[in-house]
Amino acid sequence: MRAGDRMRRETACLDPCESLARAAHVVGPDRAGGVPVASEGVLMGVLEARDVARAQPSAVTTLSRTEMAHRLTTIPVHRILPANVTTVGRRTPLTEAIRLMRRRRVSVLPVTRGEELIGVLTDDVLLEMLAEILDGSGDQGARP
Amino acid sequence: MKLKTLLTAPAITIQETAPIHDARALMRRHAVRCLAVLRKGDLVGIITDLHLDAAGPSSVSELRRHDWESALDRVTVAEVMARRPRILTADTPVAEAARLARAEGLEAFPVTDGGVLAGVVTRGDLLAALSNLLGDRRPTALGHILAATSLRSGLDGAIGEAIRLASTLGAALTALHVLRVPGPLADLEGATAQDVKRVERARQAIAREAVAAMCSAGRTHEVSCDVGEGVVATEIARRAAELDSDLIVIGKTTPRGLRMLAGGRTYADQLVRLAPCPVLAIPREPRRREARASR
Repeated sequence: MRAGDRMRRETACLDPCESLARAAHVVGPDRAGGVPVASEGVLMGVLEARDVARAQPSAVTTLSRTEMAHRLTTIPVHRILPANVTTVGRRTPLTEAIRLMRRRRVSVLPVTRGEELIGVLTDDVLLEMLAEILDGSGDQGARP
Repeated sequence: MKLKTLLTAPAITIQETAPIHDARALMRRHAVRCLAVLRKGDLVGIITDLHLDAAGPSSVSELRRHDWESALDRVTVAEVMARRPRILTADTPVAEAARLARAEGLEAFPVTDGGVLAGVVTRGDLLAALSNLLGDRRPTALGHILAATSLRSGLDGAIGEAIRLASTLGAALTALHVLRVPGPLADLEGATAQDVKRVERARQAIAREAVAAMCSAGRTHEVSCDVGEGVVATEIARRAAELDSDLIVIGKTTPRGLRMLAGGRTYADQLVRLAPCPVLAIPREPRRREARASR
């Protein structure tokens, strides 16, 4: 099975100019998810929950709640976007994609053809797939 | 398949009154990303590296300026952990755990066996289980091969060799053709930006077709084709790193023209210095020499 078989074609992307507050909202509070950042269809990178968490003011910030909220709306996403992005092709085997996800500690792998973003493979989809395989095999662990 | 099968090590625990620095150190020491938090022996929460990242100093300078970093020593695990985590038992089916993790966006959950904390299962553990089920049918560690193609005569041996290797080893193969920049037409006099773009697009299309034709000539299954642009060796190395290739296959020419004068380094030679993985250079097919011999 290949990355292209399980990727999601419809992908919500963040614009690099959107604010950190918006990014935090998309990524979610306690979620270890990520979201691709693209400008006019060209992939710029992937923002992981980790990057958003690292950008947040610390637990002992001296900023007030309103000040903090205001500042978060003024900082653009591209300021905290990691320079490196791990991508896979449509033909990359899923086992390989999983290995990459675990090694690079990412939850989203953009699937690209050249520079063009054609979909994303997320760990959520893979979890769903795990559940499907286990259900379908009567818990025997079939090899599709 | 029950969660029990995924529990490989006892849970690493920390007291809720411990400073967060200790939590970070403990995670590092045990190479884990989640700790179970205890109060007098009872499980009261979990703390992940994400919680620690959020509590730590900001990566953005204008926010970090307002962080009272010396006070961070006094922040305890209890202040930043996730309270009342969802607890699963060791008999929970893995399929159910995977659905829950997805539906509730859980990164990790504690697992109990007979009322006693038995371990922590993370998303990573579930993904590893999936990987095992899919079966790592690769007989070697070669998961991905990048074949650098050339349209010059005698160099199509490289793609053939790469296809043979990939199908024998069950590796994924990407055939990459790099258009040298600046291209022969990029500095065309009097051309508008639009013209240049059109020419570039045509070149890319031709290169793409040529690569596809080469691949189908090798009548193989799992090849993706790709066209890149840039300084050839640098671009190949960059793509290899991006695709996490385990091997690059490239045809080796005899240097000619300016490159001969510049020390005779071929793309293959340059690539060996830049590549993030081993490089296999396939020599040019000795067509010319044979022709001479038969004469």
